[in-house]
Amino acid sequence: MSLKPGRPGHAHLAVGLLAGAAVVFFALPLVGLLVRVAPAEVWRQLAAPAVQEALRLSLVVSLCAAGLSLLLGLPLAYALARLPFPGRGLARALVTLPMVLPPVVGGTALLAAFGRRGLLGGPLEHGLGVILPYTTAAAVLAATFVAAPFLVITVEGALRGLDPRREQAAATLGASRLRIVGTVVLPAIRPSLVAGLALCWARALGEFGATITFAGNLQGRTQTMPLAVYEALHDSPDGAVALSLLLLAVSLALLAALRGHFFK
Amino acid sequence: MTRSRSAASGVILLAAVVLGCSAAPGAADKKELHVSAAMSLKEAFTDLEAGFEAEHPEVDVVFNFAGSQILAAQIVAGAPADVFASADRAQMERAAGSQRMQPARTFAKNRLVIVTPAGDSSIQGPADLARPGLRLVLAGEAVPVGAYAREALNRVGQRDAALANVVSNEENVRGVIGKVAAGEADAGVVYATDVAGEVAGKLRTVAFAGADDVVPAYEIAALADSPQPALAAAFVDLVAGPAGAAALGKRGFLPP
Repeated sequence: MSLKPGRPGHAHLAVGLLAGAAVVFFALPLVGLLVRVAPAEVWRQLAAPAVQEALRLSLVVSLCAAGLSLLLGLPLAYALARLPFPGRGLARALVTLPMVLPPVVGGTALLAAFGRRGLLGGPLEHGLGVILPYTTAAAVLAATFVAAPFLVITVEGALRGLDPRREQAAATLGASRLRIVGTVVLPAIRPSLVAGLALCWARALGEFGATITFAGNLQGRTQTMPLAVYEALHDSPDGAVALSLLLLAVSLALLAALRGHFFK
Repeated sequence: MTRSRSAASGVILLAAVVLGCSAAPGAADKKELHVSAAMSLKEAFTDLEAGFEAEHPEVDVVFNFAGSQILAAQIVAGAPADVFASADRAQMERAAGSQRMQPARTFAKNRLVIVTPAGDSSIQGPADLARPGLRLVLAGEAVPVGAYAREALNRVGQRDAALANVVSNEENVRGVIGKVAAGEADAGVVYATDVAGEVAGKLRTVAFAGADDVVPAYEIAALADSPQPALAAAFVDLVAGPAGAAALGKRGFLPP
């Protein structure tokens, strides 16, 4: 690691050029979005009923997915971090998989499991009369499948970084396991929990591939914002840009809110 | 010295990779003819490719198959293309709104059919598509086959009831085929020519009775700003000529 202090010239120049190119590469598409459509037109597009419905549906689906992720993901993160059980490594790998799996593969896999001819889908339909694909519930499941890992991994990391002696101390004082989790563990990992939940929600809000594969595309039922952007791209490009700007604004707000946790 | 030289060669390498990726692999010495065509034309047009390339050895025909509404949007947005074949007049007119299209001609027709999963026998005609609780998949209303399907449902007086059963709007006809063949949907409306190949065994076809005057018609035109107008015109002539008629007929399309 010894860049000679006397001769930084060429190397620094090359690094600077590449870094500058990278910044332009990331910034240019965003600038393109911003200058593409006049602000008044953006407002007009956002008032369209299809857009309003996509917005409402996206909020419902992403919040439900975040809630479901919390309900299932928090115990899972705790188990992965604190309870030694056989196959824990495998369980962790399985949970992490959706983060790297192409979402359309996730959607196909969900169909193979919960589709009408899937592993569970047949019994569900004939036993309970429940058909999941192409319902809002399917959109929630698809979003949960791809988004929950962000919560689980973030919270598990925080739990592993927690000094177990604090919990032991609480235990010696006679606190029950549940009480320890509620009064010692959760407050200690709160920042990570919030960050994990925010990442999970953002991923759920942006979900496209698994949703269109497993839940289909129907306005008001499964057509969330990203699906509406994609469809609008072919019917009303200005609408697609307006919707994209809205999603961009949400993402920026999220980044600003998480500032200090991941970014300085 | 070495450090800056390797940094510089890194930049050159990166530039080479970027340029290399944007050039067409393996066809550097051939001219590419870009044909944007409706998804339902995939097999018939692919059949025509070898003959055209044999006649024009310097040319590599590159197809872009998608829902016509997507292709029209691409043309309006300025995407490079030499020929556009649309599954309906509406999308050809939309593309023509860009002032990039030569006059279009109709080169083939098709027929709408209802498809169900192979095991089903409950659906006998379009009236059954309005049965409450049925899970119907159509193409979106901007997609030609989706527009034809809505028009045909309207013709038999079932439009509103059937549309209430729609569980997903697909972006092209093959999306409808796939969802019905997988058994996830109870029925769909597609072109007769799409029930072919491997997937045909998983489907049952029911005639769309009562809407005989809703006839899907395909239009083709060269792009006025094609950098190789003679080749583009030659491809249009091939499709609209006897060789095209034979290839399309073999795949079940009807004459114009």
